Amino acid sequence: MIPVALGLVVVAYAVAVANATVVGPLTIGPARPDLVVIAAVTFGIHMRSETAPVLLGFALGLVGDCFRPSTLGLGAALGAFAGFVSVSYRQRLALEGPSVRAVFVSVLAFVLSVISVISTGVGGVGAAAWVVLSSSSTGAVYTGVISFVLFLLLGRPRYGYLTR
Amino acid sequence: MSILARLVRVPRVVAFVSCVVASAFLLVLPGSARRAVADVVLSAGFRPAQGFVLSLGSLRSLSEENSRLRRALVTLALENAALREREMEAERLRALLGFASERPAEVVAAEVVGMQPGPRLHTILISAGRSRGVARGLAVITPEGLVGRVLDVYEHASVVQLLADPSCRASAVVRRSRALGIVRSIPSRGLVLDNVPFTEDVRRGDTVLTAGLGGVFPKGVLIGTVSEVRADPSAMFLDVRLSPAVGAGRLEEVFVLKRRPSEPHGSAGASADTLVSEEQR
Repeated sequence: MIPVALGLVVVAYAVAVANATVVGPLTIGPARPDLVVIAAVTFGIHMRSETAPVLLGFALGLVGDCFRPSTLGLGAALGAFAGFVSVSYRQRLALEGPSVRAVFVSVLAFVLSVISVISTGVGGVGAAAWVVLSSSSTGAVYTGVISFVLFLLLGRPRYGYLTR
Repeated sequence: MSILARLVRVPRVVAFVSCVVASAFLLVLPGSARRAVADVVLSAGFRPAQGFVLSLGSLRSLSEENSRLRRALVTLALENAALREREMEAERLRALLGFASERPAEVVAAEVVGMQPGPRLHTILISAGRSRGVARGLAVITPEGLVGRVLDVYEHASVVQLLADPSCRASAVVRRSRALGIVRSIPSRGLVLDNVPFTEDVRRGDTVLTAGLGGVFPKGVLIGTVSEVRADPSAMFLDVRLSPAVGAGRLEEVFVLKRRPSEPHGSAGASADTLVSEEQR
């Protein structure tokens, strides 16, 4: 049990660092991948624990919030939501192929991005609509593509919740 | 059994509700407490790892950059010598005219150790904080041009608000025609130079510098070049779009300009360089 928890902490830490470092160079135009959603959904599908993906999403979102303390807690709640949704639908997702899972990640990333844009405000309705149409939509597609590759590499989940 | 009692038995629901409660608690914290939490999270072992990962990415280009910098050093040394001569001449003339002397601001070099995750890049984390004399509101630049200003300061790190943030504004001047305006970022249009009367002479390719009118940014720092100018006869102002001099997504090292001790904090014309603070939102 301890090695699993330790591994989870190490992976979460690595993802948090990557999310605040490699995302910049990965940016293509307005599109930025959302590694929090990818991590939360991947953990949600591949882990036996129901709570770990939720806590992971919360932790990763919290680290992201530290770059904008005025909304400290918002990203954490959205990250926890991503973990919660992925755990809630994981039985169905695990039986589907990587493309369906990637679409799920993409839609989730888009929804969370829209909530984030609306919550933080970017200077009026027109500006918010533009951000949603440009960065949120392209970012969601980009996130989906990255998660598709990741799901192809990881293969089908092997943990016991499927056969329970 | 009630629905609530059933939900309480589902671990993921309990975890999610706990996270939401914790998030709500964080959101209602006062600004200073939120910054303290952010300081703890970023400083407690996270920042060094970020710096290490980012430095790994730059190792490959180190040799190439080294030779480029050596060449630039020679050029700059020659240019510096010429400029010193001109500076002395200017100082003599300023003294004759009775103008106050202009001294260069002190700078603090810092590495970019993190970038704001999420769909939009509006802030970065740098490796210099209160311990090195960095304070809120100081201008941040690179040799290429203006980056933004310090938004939040922690003991050994600071959050920098980029010019790409829509709430960031800087007074600016077109180098060739001296036309004044306000530079800001609009999500649908990118970086623009606002409030330039249509009678002003602004052309594609013109260089835009900080005007130094607001007390936040020093005068003469490169902001970008004019990429497009539209003159609508029915409008009072020109529609001027800019290409930023600094690509924020690939920043590695920046310089914080420390305010001169003799300079009053937030001098006259503070409305020109407006960077909405987090508390004001």
